Amino acid sequence: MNLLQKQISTLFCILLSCTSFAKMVEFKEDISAKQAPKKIVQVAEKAAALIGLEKNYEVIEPKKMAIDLVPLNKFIRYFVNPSTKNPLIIVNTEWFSQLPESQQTFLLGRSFLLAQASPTHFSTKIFILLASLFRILILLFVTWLLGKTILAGKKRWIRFLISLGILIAINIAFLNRLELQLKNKLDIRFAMQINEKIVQKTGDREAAIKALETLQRGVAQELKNDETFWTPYKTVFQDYADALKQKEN
Amino acid sequence: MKKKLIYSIAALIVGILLLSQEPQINSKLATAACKQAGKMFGTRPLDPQQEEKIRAIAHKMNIQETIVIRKANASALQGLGYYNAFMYFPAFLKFIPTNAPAHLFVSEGFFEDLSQEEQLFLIGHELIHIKKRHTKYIHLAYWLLLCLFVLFWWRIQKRLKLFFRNFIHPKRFSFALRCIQAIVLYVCVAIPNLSYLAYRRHMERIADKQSIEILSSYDGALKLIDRWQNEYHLPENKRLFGLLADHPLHEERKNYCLALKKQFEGTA
Repeated sequence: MNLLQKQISTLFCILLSCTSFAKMVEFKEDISAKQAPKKIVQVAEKAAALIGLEKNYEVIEPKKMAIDLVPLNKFIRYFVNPSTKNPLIIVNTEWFSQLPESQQTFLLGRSFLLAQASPTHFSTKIFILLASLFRILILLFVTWLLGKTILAGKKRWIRFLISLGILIAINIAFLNRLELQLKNKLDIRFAMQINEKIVQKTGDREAAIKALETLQRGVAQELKNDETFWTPYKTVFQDYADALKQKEN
Repeated sequence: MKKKLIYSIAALIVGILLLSQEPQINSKLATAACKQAGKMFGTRPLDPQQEEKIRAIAHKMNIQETIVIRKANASALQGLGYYNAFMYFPAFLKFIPTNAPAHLFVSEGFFEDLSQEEQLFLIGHELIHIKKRHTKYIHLAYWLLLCLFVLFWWRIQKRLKLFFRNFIHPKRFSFALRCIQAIVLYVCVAIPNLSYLAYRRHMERIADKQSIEILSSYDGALKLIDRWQNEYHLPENKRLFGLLADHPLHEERKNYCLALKKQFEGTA
């Protein structure tokens, strides 16, 4: 990126930040986390402006306790602060500072968008409703089916109890696992869309791919330490990076 | 016919349990149980200096048992608290006892943030559990007791019917009998649960008291309980005067620690 391009992009960011309503909210230090350093907050402000974040947000740094309890805090993590309802990004300064600013912007931008979208995302709200509905349908169907068997003569509540037992067995055997897999797939697809959105805004696909690959390398290192927490993240960031590469081609 | 079936199932369970204690089978079960324990609570070794410290305390307490010391993983810390240490006797399927050595899981924060006397008390407490093999058979005992009570419930069905026939109007008898059966089943399931919890609280009291007596860690105990209560807000189940909790309530623990301290100061 030459100097002119850099200046234009900075100007663009400043212009965007003027129109954006997002404001960083100071985090009160507690037993597990503290306010992130100024340098990271500045990058976060830039990223928030770039994506046009409309909500107030918090950027914090985890203490050792938070890292031990949730190992993802070793890198970067997002969620919605339950007390303030603001998107909250946890950044491990030690790891994050090693990345170039373009990669930092991408990671912060995607975390902001994911945190902002997660409470309204399909997989969190509608999915629970659909799963419950699906279970009720199975229950009714099994109860009806039992009525066609030798249990037809039995009272309806006995058939209902038996079908409830069958439903519990189905749940334990595969339904829960199946739903979890489906939810993960939907989440991954959603995250991929967000990644692509951020790349379009930053215009730096290379940085995005590199940031995700760095994240995956960090996870691979943790996996070597035999921490089961990381098993679901075995290839996820690499998959995101590959998806971005594919779009590039 | 039904009676025969029940008795043969019971005999089969007892047979399997006895077979599981055969040395060769048991050692295989132990390997599987250790693997499972590692998955649940962590496989990473603790810092050698910290491990040495624990072994020194065990030596001081004259504990001869083999102990595997590990760093607690994230899910264990989330479930059992950050500033904590806990022991586990690896059991196959979480309830069949094996000859695997006791495992002690400790968080790093435990050594970094707790004072020496607090560490001494808590490690001593866990080592007493290991020495007395407190939780080794408790899960098996719980399941056996539960089976016995459910069997008991099944056996008294006829008697319940005969007993309540005289008190309930025949029109409502069928429905009332179902309700009574459900209530009796609930009680039959609750008894093993309550006994299990009561025994766990009893074990904790013993471990607290012996750790304090052997290591003279009165102040450590009082400070740590205070910390759990005020600083970390460690949740405790206070319902029904702590009847449903698996640890004694903080207030009770504090009281007997203070009593022991006074006793010690009196004799000194």
